[in-house]
Amino acid sequence: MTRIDETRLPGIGVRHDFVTSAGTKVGVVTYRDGRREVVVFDERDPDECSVSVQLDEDDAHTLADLLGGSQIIEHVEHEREQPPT
Amino acid sequence: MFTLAATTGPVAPFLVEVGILVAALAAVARLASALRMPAVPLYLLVGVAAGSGGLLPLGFSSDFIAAGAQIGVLLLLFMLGLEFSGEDLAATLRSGRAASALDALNALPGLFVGLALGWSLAASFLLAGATYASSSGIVAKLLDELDRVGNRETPIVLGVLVSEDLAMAAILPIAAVLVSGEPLLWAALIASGALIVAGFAVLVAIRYGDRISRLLVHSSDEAVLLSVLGLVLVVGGVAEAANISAAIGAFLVGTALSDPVAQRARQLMRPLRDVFAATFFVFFGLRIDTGVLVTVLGAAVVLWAVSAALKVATGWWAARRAGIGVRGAARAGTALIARGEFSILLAQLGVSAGLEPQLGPLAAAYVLLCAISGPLLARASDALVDALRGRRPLRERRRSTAAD
Repeated sequence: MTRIDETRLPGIGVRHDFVTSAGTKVGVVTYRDGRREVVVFDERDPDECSVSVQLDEDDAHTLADLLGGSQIIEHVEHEREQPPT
Repeated sequence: MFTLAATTGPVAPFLVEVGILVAALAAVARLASALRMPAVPLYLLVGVAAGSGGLLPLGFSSDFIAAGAQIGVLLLLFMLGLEFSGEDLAATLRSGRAASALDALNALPGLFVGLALGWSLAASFLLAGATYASSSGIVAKLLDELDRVGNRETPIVLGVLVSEDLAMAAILPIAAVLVSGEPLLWAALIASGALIVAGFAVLVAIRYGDRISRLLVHSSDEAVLLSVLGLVLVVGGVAEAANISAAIGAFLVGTALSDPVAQRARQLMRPLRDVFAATFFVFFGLRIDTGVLVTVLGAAVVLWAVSAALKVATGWWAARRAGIGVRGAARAGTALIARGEFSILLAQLGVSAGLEPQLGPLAAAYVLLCAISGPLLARASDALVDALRGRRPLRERRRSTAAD
């Protein structure tokens, strides 16, 4: 099962990330106003996002549909026990 | 309507004056956007230019601008309180204590420079607050523009900002008492009282925020906008009357609101905040004596150099401690350099109390230096780190890139 980390971003929202089986770290930033941002962490500087794609709510649904998602959420492993905003 | 206005003063020159000022700010906001820099230092410059050179002699609208500046302060602080929920504050208090303590050292350059210039303790305290607090507004915008919101060092940067906002809940009331010339013991009492009130407000926000928000929620945008604005102004006024400072009252209202009202208020109040905050920065600039500004430039540069280095050290240390690499640590440090609304806010307290003629000009020059250099350094930080490290490879490439 993939481990998903949750990180709080005060004033902005929350970031979830995980490491793909190929070793790339991928994350989703969820802004408070519903915008999403897909980020891919840099291979050389693992703290930095080399790719970030802004998605509004429609875009996010489109991407989720394309990926055939819906087996998520239950797998969220909270890094800290905090309620989502 | 028109007869009412005509009895209180000539409408036409008033409208023209305010119109010209707003148009000037619009031009400046466009310029800032084109140059990809924060608008705050440019607003200040407009104020300074208009005030001293007499480009815009404000005969009719000065009262209006003063009132607008006051409302601007309240809305700035209210929006800040909105952004940082009670849970955020509590979480930062739990996890970011060490970084927050180190960050507090950033008050020292201001304090020492103030005392070295022979200022009173009150004026030095205000300058200390001005060097302490980074600009949440500028930093948040910067992170967004540079696509660093997802980065690993970003939660650390945001944690430092939250702790500063919380510290403001203590700094503002102390400052309010100090400038009023009351004895120090009284100041300590007021400050601890305000801290208790602030702590209580945070608790109330966590417990009962939902209920307060349910009272305010309404399907009509106007109803929400007006009730929130009314609440902010009334609580601000009551706090001011109780000698706690209006700004902190507004901040606490912000922290007490929770979704869905907080979300609606964020959208509805932002344009209002932008208009009045711009008024506030111009108002501050208008009253800067450029003659004095020139004499304090040296002190401002010293203050800038020392406090920028300290902020970089703060961000660097906090990031390294969290296991973040050298480049990320440098990004965290440089992101924190920019000072802005808080510094001006504190200086304004001293200026309006007629505390120290050098305070306003020094704070203005200092904020200009920090707010302009901060984003530039943050943008260049990766390149600077790579250059300093010479040709050494950053890190071994992982297998997924070995394929190409």
